[in-house]
Amino acid sequence: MTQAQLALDGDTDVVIRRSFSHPPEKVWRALTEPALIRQWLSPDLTDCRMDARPGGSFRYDWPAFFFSGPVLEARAPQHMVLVEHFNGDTTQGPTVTTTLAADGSGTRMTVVMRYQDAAARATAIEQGFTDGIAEVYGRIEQVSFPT
Amino acid sequence: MPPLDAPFAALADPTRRAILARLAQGEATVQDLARPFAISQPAISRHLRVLEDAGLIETRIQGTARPRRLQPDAIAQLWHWLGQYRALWEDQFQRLDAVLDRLDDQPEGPTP
Repeated sequence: MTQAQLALDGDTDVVIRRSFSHPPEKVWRALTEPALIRQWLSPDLTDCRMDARPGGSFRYDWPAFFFSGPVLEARAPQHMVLVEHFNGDTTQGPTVTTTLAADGSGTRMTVVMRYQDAAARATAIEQGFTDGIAEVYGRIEQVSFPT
Repeated sequence: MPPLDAPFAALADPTRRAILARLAQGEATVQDLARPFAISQPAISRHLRVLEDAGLIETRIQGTARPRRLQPDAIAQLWHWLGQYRALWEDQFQRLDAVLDRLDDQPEGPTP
């Protein structure tokens, strides 16, 4: 299994590539069915809605914030475009294009996150890192001090 | 302004990335740097200014010469941020691997 590859493309794009040992049909289900999304996106999710159709929308809730936005394009099991707003701020947020390509019996996934400008991209990387660290430490605290 | 903004903007330009690659082999003057690139010394100087403002390189003063060199801490820090960010994605994808491995046994449709 190859590890996730991260690339910065031009001023605005973050590109993530990852291979999975299951075919696109299964990866698509895991990316679009709320019951499955809940199992991998984050252990802290409190609600998860996804209507992966053109004109549909999604919303992922954490205790203190949420991501939501419109689904612009969806063509199972290979292509989805959505816009990801933070806490309902529709003036900002990347356009996220996910592409699944069959690769033998597995899948090559490419996720392109296109931000409004270089500053928005840099902020997103820092924020993702900061939130991730907080989440990891939160989990360690839960393990250390069970209630 | 976020601390990563200027370095990322600086790295978006292919000539500036090539200059950094050259400086990774050792310090160099504007004249040294202009030679392999088909652009003028003033243009190189402008690129160097952007890289220096972004904290990626520094100027050493040596008599009348002003050789530039990499600012290793800044490069390492940038690498660190990107590495951590990538690791977060990889954590998520490893949970996704596990979901996919279990998926054959799962009925379709939402379960709480």
